[in-house]
Amino acid sequence: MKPAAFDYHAPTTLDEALSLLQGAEDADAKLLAGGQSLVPTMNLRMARPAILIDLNRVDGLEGIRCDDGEWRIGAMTRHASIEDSPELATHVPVLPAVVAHIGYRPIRNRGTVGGSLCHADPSAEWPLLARLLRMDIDVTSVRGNRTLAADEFFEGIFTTAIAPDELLTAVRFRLPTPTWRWGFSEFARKAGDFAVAAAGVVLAVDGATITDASVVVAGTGREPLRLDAVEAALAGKALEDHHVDDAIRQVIVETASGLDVIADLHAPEAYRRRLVGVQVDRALAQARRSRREEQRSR
Amino acid sequence: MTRRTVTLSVNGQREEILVEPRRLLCDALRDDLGLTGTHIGCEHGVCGACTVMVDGRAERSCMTFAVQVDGAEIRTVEGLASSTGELSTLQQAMWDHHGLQCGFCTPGVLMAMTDLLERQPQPTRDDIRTALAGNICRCTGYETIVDAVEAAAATGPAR
Amino acid sequence: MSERSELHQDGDVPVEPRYVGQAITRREDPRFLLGRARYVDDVRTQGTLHAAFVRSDEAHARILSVDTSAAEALDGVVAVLTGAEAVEHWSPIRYDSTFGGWQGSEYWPLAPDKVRFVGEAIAVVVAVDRYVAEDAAELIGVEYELLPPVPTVDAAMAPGAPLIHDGWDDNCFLRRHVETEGFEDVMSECPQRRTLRLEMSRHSGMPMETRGCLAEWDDRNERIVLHCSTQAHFNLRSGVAEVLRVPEHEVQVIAPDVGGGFGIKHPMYPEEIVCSLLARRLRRPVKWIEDRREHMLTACHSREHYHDVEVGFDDDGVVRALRARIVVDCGAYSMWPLTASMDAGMALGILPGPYRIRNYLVDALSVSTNKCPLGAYRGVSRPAACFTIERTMDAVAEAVGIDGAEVRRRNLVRADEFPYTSVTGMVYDSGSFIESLEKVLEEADYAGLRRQQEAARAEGRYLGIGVATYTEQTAHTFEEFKKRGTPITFGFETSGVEVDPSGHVTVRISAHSHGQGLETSIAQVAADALGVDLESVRVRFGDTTELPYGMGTFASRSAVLCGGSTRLAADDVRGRMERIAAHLLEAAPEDIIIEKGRASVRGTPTASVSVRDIAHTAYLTPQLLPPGEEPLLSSTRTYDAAPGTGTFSNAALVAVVEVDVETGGVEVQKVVVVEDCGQIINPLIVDGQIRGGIAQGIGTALFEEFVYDEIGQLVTTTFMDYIVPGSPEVPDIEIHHLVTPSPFTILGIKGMGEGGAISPGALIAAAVEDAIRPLTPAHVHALPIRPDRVRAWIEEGAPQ
Repeated sequence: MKPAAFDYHAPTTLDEALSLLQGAEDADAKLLAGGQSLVPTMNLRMARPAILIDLNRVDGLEGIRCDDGEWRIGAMTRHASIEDSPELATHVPVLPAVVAHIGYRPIRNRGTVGGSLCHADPSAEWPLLARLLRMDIDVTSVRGNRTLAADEFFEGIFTTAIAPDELLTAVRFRLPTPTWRWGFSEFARKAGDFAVAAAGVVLAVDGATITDASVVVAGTGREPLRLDAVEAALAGKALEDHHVDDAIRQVIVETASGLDVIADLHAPEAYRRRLVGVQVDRALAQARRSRREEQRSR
Repeated sequence: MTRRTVTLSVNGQREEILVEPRRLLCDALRDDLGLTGTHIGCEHGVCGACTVMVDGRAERSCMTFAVQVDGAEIRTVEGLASSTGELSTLQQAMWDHHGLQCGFCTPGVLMAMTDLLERQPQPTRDDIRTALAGNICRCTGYETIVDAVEAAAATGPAR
Repeated sequence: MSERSELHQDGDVPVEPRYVGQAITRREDPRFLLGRARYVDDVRTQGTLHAAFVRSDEAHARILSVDTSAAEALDGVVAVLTGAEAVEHWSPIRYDSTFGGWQGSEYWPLAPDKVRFVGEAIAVVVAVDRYVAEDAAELIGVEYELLPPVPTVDAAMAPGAPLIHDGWDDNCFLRRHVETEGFEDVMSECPQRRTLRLEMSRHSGMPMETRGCLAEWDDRNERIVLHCSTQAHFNLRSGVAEVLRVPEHEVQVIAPDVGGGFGIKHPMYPEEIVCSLLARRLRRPVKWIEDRREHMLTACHSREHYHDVEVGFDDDGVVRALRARIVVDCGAYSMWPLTASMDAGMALGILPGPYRIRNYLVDALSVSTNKCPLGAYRGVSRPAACFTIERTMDAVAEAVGIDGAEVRRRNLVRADEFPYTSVTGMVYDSGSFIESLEKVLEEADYAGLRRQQEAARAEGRYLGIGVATYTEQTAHTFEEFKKRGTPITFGFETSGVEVDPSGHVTVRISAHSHGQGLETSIAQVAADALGVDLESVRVRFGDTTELPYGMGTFASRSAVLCGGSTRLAADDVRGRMERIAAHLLEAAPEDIIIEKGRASVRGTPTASVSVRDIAHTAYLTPQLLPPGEEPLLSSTRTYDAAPGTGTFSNAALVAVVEVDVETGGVEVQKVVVVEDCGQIINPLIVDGQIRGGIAQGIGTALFEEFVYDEIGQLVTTTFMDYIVPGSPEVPDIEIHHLVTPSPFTILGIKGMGEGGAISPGALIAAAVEDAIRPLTPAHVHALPIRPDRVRAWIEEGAPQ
């Protein structure tokens, strides 16, 4: 399985990359980030870009920082950097914990945040994380910059709102205040494999009350879905109140059974719907037990 | 198709090759440099047979184009033993523990596990199993590979 | 007398085993560890051209036209060949069972006019590299006339089904029927009866090295040299010569290092014939390395079985009668050299397993469909047969209210019954069926596991315990293959043992090691037999010019048959060395002892000569030989492990699984195995085979399946779809051994390589069923045990 031929460019600046992108015929140019999703499809000749623009030598697209409570992660930041980051482990442990599920270490050494978001695989972790933490996604082109909210960025299976001449440069987000808890649960056929269903839960907590909830699922076969009904059911509830457990579980079950899912080799429809609900249940249970200060265990 | 010159260091030796942009790194290593120790098992990044180190990080050479590693330092299985042929601690442990049968996945396993031991010199058995998840072996059932990595970790730092 | 048993047969001189039985690390490992092994793609020769195949994307169609003009015009393309053009250059692969009623298929190396499965090769491009060859292959346009696809056995056997093969009466390669006398009477008199339907999915060995070959034309020797990743180099030579219609001495096959076979690399495939033809015509080396997608599409699939069983038993759970209908989906063509009848026929023979079942009626059908041809994968049909009989035993146990271990106790062949001739005429030569069961229950602390299970259930966790036993026929030769109706009866293996003038030993064997460690185990046998140091022995294999003939490595036979032939040849050489030494030392040959590379006179250790001295005499100063003694230290011998019905290993296993009842996920937590394979040559190697086989068996049980859609398109074409167990999915496996030597074989060795793969399907199915029993009465009778299936079983049992 060898790829079809292409013209190759390795720009060293963002401007160079953008003008190459703009100059190319839309459908025929592809940006090469980590390559861990793109190159296999090229080897299979399912993707055959005439032009490949390699972003790996462009300065300034990588990095993790926090300024005044706003976190910014550059698009070319490798999954392995997220996994290994001590700052994230301390302050945003949901990210390294979830990213560790992405394939295997060699994949994570090259795969990038931006690449994963733009590829928009329905089972992928990064699109889920982007919606879960309500990230802002910065994109740029020769025409200028714009920011899309994660909730508007993903449009469908392998489809995003990014324009053909645009390049994703960074994601930004703030953590819920004053404290927050998180949970994540994924079911895959085997370790490191694509998620059949996954769910992430982030709870903004004030004292003993959930002030806001973010509940996002992946693996339905479509873009990551925000479960508004579950979020609404959680808002304002006491964190530890087990009386609400059955009611919440009921909302989860009902929401899951109403989901629009795609059946595939690994999961027929009804099974998949129920499985999504199970992941939400487990992610929520973990969120309720966790504390923001909890150290990621390794 | 315009070929490009790629200059790289492979196992400490400077090499220069002329390749089409689409030439995969695994093919460049095997065919242009004659280093056939790196194997090709799937060409879509799942099996791990093609794992090499690029600038100190384990990577799938079937998912990297050779043109991308211009200026990089590559380590392949051929670079694990010393220049006098002494096996690395991990290679010796794999031998002692019967961690290979047909040997086809072995170079990829060696590179992935060398990478693990360099990052995490004292992995638990579970850590090893998790790290090994990225390499498919059809022969051994994995247990003796895990034994070997555990033994190599106990012996001392991997070469 | 040392504490290890003497290894000898009646009439042989006892040999103190210094190496056989020892866990010696493998001599061959360094080259694999250093990245210096040579698999077929590592074989490099100047001027090599690279092939890419154009493959059918229809399951069943006539080929109307193939347009190669654009491909031929592409820069870097040297040749293009279509099936229609090549028809006069070869014969189709045709390999017929000897059974009456057999309908044979013709498998053209390149399809000239009709395609019968997606992936079947239609044309080939040869170019300067694989990249260009694939570019060109894409430019070849094929026009098809679609025919109705026949993608399942039900579709194939339906009345009025479209015929896949011209001239056939229906789509069945072969039907067989076997019935014991008075069967119906016995069955109808059984106090209890149950029926079951068992299904095993289509899956396969999936070696990490895909197939591949490099064909060269050797001008000097005027022959095709075919380097091929194959398990059966001699048979391949015969097959290629036959199909290309050339004398066999115009073909040489070399199997280099092979990266796993598991039976998948046993057959002769079209691609190696195509490359051979092209190399001869172009007078240039032609290489083809299969990619993984091609492998999933076209390398033999296996194990797709549908069994309908009726078991009759008494109230004590003793089985009296077994009726079975075995249907195997054999895909589009009968493969060389096993034929499409192999799976069904073998299942027919071994279905009763290690149990004392004397009344048996079976119909076995080998059905053709528009899918990849079926071949043999590690165990062949034994995994499906074991799945069926073990689940049947568990069903009997459930019916009479006894434990799974107990029902086996009551039905297993007992120690005092060996050699036991089964109802299908298989001779179980020796074994420890009940002993291994008792031992595994003890080692696994079965009672303790049941207590753990109860404690877990109280916590809302669902552990399950499964038990399985099996017997594995190994090293069977002519008697067995005659019965199976294969045109080639794989009757022997061959060894050549040679001590060279420097006193070092070369052993050439007709088997081939693709992971089994034969370079070490055979060296152990030879070193013991000759009385030399292990380091002085080198084992070689894979090149058809090195020995007259043999069959290759499959059917768990190499240790027994090549071990045996090596022992016989080594004994010849040793005998000559003893006579020469005796002559040099002025003693009687029967007083000569050879050990650690020296021959001395018993009782007079100072009187000795080295093996090197003996060899020097034999080759270089033959005037010093005893009168009448020939001047070579070499012998080539064959061995067929008479009576040729094989020697039977056995094992018993216990597994513990945990089922996540919400997701349906299954985790195999523990496996304990007691294995009896007679005399073990190298415990490291044997245990490695067990672990590897069980890991593959976990794949069979939980993960692996090839899925075709309703028009015969293969949906699972990458490792994203076809799931192979990784390290986290395979637990540590506890292995214990019993040793019941074979009374038939040299050294009492039994084969065992396939064994590990035979029972995990049954074992894990039993454990999963046990785990979810509190929630559902459902039975696990289909593999793989997918999570959605587990949920469906649980939902079946939920209160409405």
